[in-house]
Amino acid sequence: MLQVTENLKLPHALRSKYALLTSQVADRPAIIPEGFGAVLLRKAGILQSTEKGEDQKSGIYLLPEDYGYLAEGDIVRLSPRTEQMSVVFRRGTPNNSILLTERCNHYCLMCSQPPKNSDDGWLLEEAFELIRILPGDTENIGFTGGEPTLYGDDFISLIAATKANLPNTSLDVLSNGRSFANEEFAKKLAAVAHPNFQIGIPLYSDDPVTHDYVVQSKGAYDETLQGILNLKRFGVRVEIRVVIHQQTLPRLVQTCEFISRNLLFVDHVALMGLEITGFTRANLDILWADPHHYRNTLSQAVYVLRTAGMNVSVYNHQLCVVNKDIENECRKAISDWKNEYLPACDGCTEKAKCGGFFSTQIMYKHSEHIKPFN
Amino acid sequence: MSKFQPVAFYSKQPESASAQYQLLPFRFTQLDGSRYVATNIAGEYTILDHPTLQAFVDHKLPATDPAYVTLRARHFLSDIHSQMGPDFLAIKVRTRHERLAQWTGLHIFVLTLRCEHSCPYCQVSRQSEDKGAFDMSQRHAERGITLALSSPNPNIKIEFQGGESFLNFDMMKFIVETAIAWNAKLPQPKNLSFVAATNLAIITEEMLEFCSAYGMDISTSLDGPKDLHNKNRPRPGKDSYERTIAGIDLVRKRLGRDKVNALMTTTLASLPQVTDIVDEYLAQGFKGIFLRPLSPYGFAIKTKFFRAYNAEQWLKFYDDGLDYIIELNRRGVDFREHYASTILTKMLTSQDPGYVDLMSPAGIGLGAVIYNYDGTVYASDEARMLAEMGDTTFKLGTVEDSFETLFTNDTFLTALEDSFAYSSPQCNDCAFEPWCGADPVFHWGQQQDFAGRKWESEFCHRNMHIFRGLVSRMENDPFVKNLFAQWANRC
Amino acid sequence: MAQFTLEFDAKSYSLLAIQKACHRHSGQASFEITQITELSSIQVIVSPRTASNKETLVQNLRTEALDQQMREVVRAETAGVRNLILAHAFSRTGLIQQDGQPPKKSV
Repeated sequence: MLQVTENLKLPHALRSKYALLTSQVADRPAIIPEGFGAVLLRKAGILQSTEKGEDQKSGIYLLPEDYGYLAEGDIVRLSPRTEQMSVVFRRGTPNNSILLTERCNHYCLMCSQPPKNSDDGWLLEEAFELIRILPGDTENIGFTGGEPTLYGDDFISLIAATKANLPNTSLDVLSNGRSFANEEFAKKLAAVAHPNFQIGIPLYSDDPVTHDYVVQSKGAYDETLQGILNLKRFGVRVEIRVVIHQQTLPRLVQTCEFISRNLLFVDHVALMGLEITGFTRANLDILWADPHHYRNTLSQAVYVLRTAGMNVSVYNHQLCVVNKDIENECRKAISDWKNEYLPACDGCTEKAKCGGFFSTQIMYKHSEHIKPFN
Repeated sequence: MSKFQPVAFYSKQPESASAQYQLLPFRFTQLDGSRYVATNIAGEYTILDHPTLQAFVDHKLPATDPAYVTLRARHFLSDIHSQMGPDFLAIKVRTRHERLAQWTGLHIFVLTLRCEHSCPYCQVSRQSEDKGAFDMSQRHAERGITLALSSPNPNIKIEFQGGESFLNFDMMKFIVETAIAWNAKLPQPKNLSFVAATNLAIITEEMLEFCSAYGMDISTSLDGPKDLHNKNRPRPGKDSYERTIAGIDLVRKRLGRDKVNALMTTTLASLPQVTDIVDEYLAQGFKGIFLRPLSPYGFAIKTKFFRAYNAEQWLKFYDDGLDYIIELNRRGVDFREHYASTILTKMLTSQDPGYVDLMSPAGIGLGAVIYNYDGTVYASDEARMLAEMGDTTFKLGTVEDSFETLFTNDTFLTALEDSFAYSSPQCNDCAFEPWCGADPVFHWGQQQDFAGRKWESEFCHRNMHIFRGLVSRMENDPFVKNLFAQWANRC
Repeated sequence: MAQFTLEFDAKSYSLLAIQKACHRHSGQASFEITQITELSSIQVIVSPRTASNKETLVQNLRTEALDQQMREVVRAETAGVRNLILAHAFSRTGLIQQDGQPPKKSV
């Protein structure tokens, strides 16, 4: 894992931990400084003398176009063998997600990170390493999976380490919450007392059969609820997430009524639109619903939660396909770099307020009722 | 990639045969000819027709019946899919009863019986200049303050009543200042608030200054439009209405828009005028109205005012008023009916609105206590009125008694226990019990029985009619359902 | 209105259910309830107080008796879990955060 820098004059003692980001002008010979962990070339230069990096101490990588956003302070992971690079942290983005594992004990119909049963404990180790090098002024990071709590006590240690290394960074964790049905485990998490921490737990229905079906796991409903209760009992901040699609729509309002009667003490409720990636694409025929068609149901669901005094947010819905009465609850999508707009959006007066689309929505499926405001 | 299982895979109940389930505690009462209201132990309701109810109780309801899913989600049953019902019910019951340990938040001081009005329905006032005979003394006031500050409730509201409370303005000032001073010396000072019940006829600048300085709320009487109000509330000069309106205006200017609220009393003359009364409240800038029946005490009984109209007439008055208010809301006017709002809070949330007349255990003593001008202590305002009629059953003692003596008064405790709705005959069966309350003073006054024979009780009859009415309106109209949800959450 | 008698099958109704059903209608009539074990029936002699419709009264009594019987069943079946719930609700083990404190909403 390397931090990205554009500083050609970085002291030699530090270079092995950094990846140099540099551009080449086509007609000048490449001047590759030595000692860096890796060199990232923005454009093809004259590389004959450095082909395949055979006589170079640092590996040289050609950056494809879509990594054009890479900048000083970002952090990348390079696998020299497979010649693959992933961007683990982007300094310019307010919310960075760190994948802890691809293993999961659920198999949600609309999972955007399809589970893999691989031995990926190295991701956890990397996370420990990452939080030691992240800038202290990082606003927010998130831990996701798979199911992060499958690491048991190691997960707790990670939270504690994050608190110690990044005390000023808010931390979000996504989890199905079932591990916290174990009271001791919930207590341990609460004992870490992270100063600015929230765990996001999905609840897809007030009906256990529907919930278990959506997450494809028997017995999920009761354990998830027990987990939520335990976490709240010990003072951990909890957000409930509901993804809106064909399977959750029939009881969406009743589910929100259930939340407002039984889980009033939860800190936030997030109602989310579909991202057309992962399993969602495979199951599109049983998941997809046009937001324009369900806009009244969504309004009523928000009304129920809002009237009960709960904090509600709506994500991943374009402003033109929802009713005006929930505009206060609609939030722009979290990751700016995922946002795109359709040609139909040209000239829309609400573009700045609207989150736009996920690129996957643009590519595969979006509402058929997109219309600009004027 | 593993396959996805269909929803049937996750259901452990048979498709068409009866489901396997355990009943959770619930009660049911007829709503109308064909439907029942069923409430769980936390007071959440669902509507069932008789065949479904019967099938449910007989364990013959199939899991595919839409009622089944609702019954499980609302914790009327447990089954193999969810056993969390009891936990959630316990939490909800606990939340609703949270405030029990923090009793007596409202402490009423009757500063004087003197009043320049002579409202025929008034329970207690005296036309007199004799301050010595009918004003509260300093000694009594001091003892009252000590008792008020002994209450476990962290929030103490001191309410001044009369007669006309401002006729003893000196004592009002004394109590406010003394209470604040003594409160500051407590190891755990209370949150003090003050409210004065007044007809506003004699309010002066000096009084308003004082109220403003101490953040005092004002509670006044407005029975309806001018003619009705003046007819109900005579005073020399026949100008009660004019003075009330002028007073409300003044209070708003000096103390703030939301510092004055108004209460109305329903008389025979009021009955045909409910929309006019509501319109009057609207015109005077109030955000809501409390449609109250006439209580059967004091002068009201003496002058047969109480029997002037019966429960049915009042219920029609109430229904017409509530329906009119709903119409106003449909037209975009934010205006609410407060009695309905109070009940709706109990129906639709786990909050306790703390409304003295709808509490079980009864609100007497536990919700409010009253220190009379002569130093006697009563368990409620109604108890005081009953005493004025010669029945001192609910006198707790005097201000010279200790806090413990007053609150362990035998009759008081017996009344609380006997009237406790959850164990009262008929009430313990009733689906509406979680929304209702106990009124031992009323039942004692009417029937000489703390619990009361509910089939004869106007308290019961009135409340059941209103509960049914609220449920029916919500079930028949989604707009009303949403409107009532707002009222219930006070938002 | 004259007195009349109603019969209830003791195999389908408990005495308590019949008593409660009658109790509820005390405003409209007075009742004399007898158990006739040989015939396995419960006999109710109804003496109406008011001049109301006999058919309506009978219908109401029968409906109420059925409902009371149902309530018996529910009560018996749920007595245990009801006590559990109430004990839990009023115990000192904090169900949410600290004892007796409502959970605080985070900023």
